Amino acid sequence: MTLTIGIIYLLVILAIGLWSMRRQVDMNTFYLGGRSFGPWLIAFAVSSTTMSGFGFIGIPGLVYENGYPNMMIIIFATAGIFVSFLILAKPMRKITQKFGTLTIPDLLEIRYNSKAVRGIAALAILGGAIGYQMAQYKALGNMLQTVLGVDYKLALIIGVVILTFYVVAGGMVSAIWTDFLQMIIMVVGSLIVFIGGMNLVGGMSQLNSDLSNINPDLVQAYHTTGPIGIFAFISYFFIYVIGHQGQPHVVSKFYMIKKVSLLKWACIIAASTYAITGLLSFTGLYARVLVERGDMAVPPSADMVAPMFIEAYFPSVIAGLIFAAVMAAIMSTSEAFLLIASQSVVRDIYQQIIKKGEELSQKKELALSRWITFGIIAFTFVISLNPPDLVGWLGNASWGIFAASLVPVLSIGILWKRATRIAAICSSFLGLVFSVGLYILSVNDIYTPALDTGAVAFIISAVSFVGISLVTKPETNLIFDENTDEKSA
Amino acid sequence: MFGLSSIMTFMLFVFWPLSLVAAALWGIFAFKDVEEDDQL
Repeated sequence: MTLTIGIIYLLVILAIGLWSMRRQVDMNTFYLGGRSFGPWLIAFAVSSTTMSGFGFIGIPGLVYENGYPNMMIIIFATAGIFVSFLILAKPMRKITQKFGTLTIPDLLEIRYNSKAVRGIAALAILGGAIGYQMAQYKALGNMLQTVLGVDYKLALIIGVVILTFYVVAGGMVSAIWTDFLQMIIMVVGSLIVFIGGMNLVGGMSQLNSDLSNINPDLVQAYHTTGPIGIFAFISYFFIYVIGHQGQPHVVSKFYMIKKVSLLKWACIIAASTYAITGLLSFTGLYARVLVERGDMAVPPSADMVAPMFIEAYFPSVIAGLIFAAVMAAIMSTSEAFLLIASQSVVRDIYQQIIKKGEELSQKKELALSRWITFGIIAFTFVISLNPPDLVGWLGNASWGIFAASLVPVLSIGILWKRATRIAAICSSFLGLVFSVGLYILSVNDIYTPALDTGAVAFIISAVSFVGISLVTKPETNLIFDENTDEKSA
Repeated sequence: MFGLSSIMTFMLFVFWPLSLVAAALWGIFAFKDVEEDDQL
């Protein structure tokens, strides 16, 4: 039954890909879906892209090991969705209307009149996107291995083939509609598991009492003696509340809504659907208590906590639905990163920098977009067969890389006229170098700062952005000029 | 409450729901004078 539901889901995804393929015209439709989506589609896309394989598999595993402190990621990311809408949604949608921007680096070049900022942002996006994708592929391989009962490499091939088809054929249209379907499954599945699991363990008070008996730190917001202490708590705030605005695969969705006024519903829909799916992190707590009681086998690894719990305690129809939901989460984030990585190569690096903004024919644009997307999938897939450790770790650090390289220049810059080009170049460069560099030092045990490396890099980037802006000459900019004529969308 | 520390109780039962309230309020207040936006 689990297998049947899994296969049905994959076939539906393929069908959506085929339907979307016919709507592809040029780079605009491939990457932005022609800016034609309503609030429910955009909202579901934002929340489903935020809730990745890491959110569905990785976080329950962390919560199993560390308790409520790791649930702070979900709580802060919910607030992060609100903050992103608050600061970026309206300005980005207006800017895309006025200037025809397709990507985040597009917006940054217009804002700072600088190809250097575009280039650094494009590199940060490309590197972070490929790294994060590899983590998603590994999760996809693990999930399909469980659902289809085949070995990891074959499972990975099957997953990647399906992903390739619906993304390369259907681009963003395909991505948004599959996000919509996926979010519906994810919301239903999460509610079933949250409520069912809570009944199983005997209610909230019993759950927390049992956890506290195992280790009192498990029911804290941050550990007093464990690894997720106060500095981790503060780091999560920076990375997930503030850093959400820098996640290019999420905030680029703001470009795609049909009209600005529709954003008002999109925010609450996105935040609440994300929060509901975040309830799945409780599986980590349920599993910990059940293992302690001897009612559940000890999971061989953290990644297996959620799948094992669901398989052990829910009927196979529900298990099939949940596994479809998890595959949905992995695929939706994967395709979001894929499209953003492909965009940064085709639009930001090739068309705007190498070709100096030369207009390509629609046919050539679309073909190039598809080929580069396919190329990135192939490259990432080959490395994912035997991922080198360092690159896998970079995947985990990508939230921090995006936050440090992009949030100051994007979020502060979009609101603060005083921000200057030099400051933007320095800030995004420092953000990129420190987020990657500190992470490499940290995983090799050479140097580990008290705060998370991404949070440290973000602080350096933000402070340098503001400081350098204040000591360099003020500039005028088209973005703040009310009289600039708009381009057609 | 429910056996959680006071900070965790606050984060789970106050901060988290308040984020959703904020999201809803933003939708209501940020688009009060929205007609001219739709002219874009």
